[in-house]
Amino acid sequence: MSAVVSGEKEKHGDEATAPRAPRVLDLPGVPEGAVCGPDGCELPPLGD
Amino acid sequence: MSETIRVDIWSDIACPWCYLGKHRFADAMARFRATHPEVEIEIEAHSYELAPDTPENFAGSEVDFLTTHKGMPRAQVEQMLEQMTQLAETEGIEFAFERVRHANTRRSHRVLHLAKSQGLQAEMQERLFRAYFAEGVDVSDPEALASLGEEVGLDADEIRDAFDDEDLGEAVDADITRARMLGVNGVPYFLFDEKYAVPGAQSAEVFTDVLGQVLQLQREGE
Repeated sequence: MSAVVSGEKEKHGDEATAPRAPRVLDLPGVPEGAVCGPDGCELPPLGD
Repeated sequence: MSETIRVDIWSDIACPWCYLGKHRFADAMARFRATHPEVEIEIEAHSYELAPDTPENFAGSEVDFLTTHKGMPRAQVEQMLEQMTQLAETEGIEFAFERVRHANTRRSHRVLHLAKSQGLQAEMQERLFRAYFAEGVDVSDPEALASLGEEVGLDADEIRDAFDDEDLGEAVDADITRARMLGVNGVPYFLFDEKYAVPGAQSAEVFTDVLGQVLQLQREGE
């Protein structure tokens, strides 16, 4: 599973309000969880 | 020194996995607190719109929406909803899809942000989920929202004003923009300590484990 952290250094002034690009890391041992997206919802996993 | 785990959660009212995920996470928090009573868990819910293109006056069921707007075969939709209903029942949640009135959730999100400003966000969200999935309430209807809000302690006139409040509209948009920046393409979506993303309605066991991992990472200074 993923983790998101800021990949940029601290900014000041106008730059501080600019969008920060996230960087994805892993958090081990976490499975994919069921979600709903724009095209519908995932079905319950077998055996759930 | 007290320790705090921050949890940001993106969800939509018209999202059955979000409703299940909310309950599973609440269960996980109770388990975690039993073993870590010294740790505070700070939760903030955020807006996400799964179907912002839903007309505000859409009149139809969930089956109608998924078949006519999303092009899904009716049999597949009915099977999906039946499976969701059975799963929810095992977790003590009522889904009555035959009553659900598919709705644009934009106004609901404005009410949730109003509730957040008054410390009633969790209560309002729970009330909206139940109204949508179990009671067949049209959660795009201003008067229905005013009534639901009153039930949890909001002022009905403040809710009516919320539908034209620019700040609340911007708050909803800001949540959705942040979700986009995080790469969210499905909800529920959980972000721990503004770093660790856990998408989806995990089991309570997994959420409990995640809380433990995040606490450990805090203690290691990561």
